[in-house]
Amino acid sequence: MKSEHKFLTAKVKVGARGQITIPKAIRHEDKIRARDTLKVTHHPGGEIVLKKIESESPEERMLAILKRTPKIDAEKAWREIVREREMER
Amino acid sequence: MIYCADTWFTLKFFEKDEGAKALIRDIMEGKHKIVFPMVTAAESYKKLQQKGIPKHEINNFFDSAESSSHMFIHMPDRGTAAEAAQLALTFGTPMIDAFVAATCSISKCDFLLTGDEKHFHRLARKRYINVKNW
Repeated sequence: MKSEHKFLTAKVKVGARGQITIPKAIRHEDKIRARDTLKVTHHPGGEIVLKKIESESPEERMLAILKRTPKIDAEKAWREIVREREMER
Repeated sequence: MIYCADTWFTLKFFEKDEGAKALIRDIMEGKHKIVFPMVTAAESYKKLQQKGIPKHEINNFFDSAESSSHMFIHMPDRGTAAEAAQLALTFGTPMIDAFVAATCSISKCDFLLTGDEKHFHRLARKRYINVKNW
């Protein structure tokens, strides 16, 4: 069963360089940890929205390559490799 | 399991083979590790570009391997070179095959992921390495 979303709000002070502290309850709810990356979006109505960017693992980045590259004929390429290796003996 | 990846594996990956993709997902979950011999990287750069894969995407592939906690690119040293030479002398193994097999052995990999290839099967019969493919 899906748990209900908790609307958490808080007032935070802005530091000298624009830093804020995200309240602990919100960090806990959204699993925001130190060194996570957040996307900051300024909306026309003045809302500033912070959203955690799910960082990709190296393996996910590797799999994502396949969405951008053409499919090759592996068996044909492998047969060429085997021939080339024999020639280089 | 620790797998040693011959160029065959990178070719299967860029063929978008389901077995290759599944292994990468298993590696992401920490179920297995994979070692790429440096000679495999070189051969993959050449063959994949010949088959139309842009060089920057091959860079991305090996950058990901280098960034991963479960994937490694083996840096050959003199020990690997000597081992490869011994395989070539003893079994008549072509030098690239010999480097791949030597890396598999030195890195203590459980299996070499490779295609049907007589030299590796000969080494497997001598119990020097175990070979696996799909």
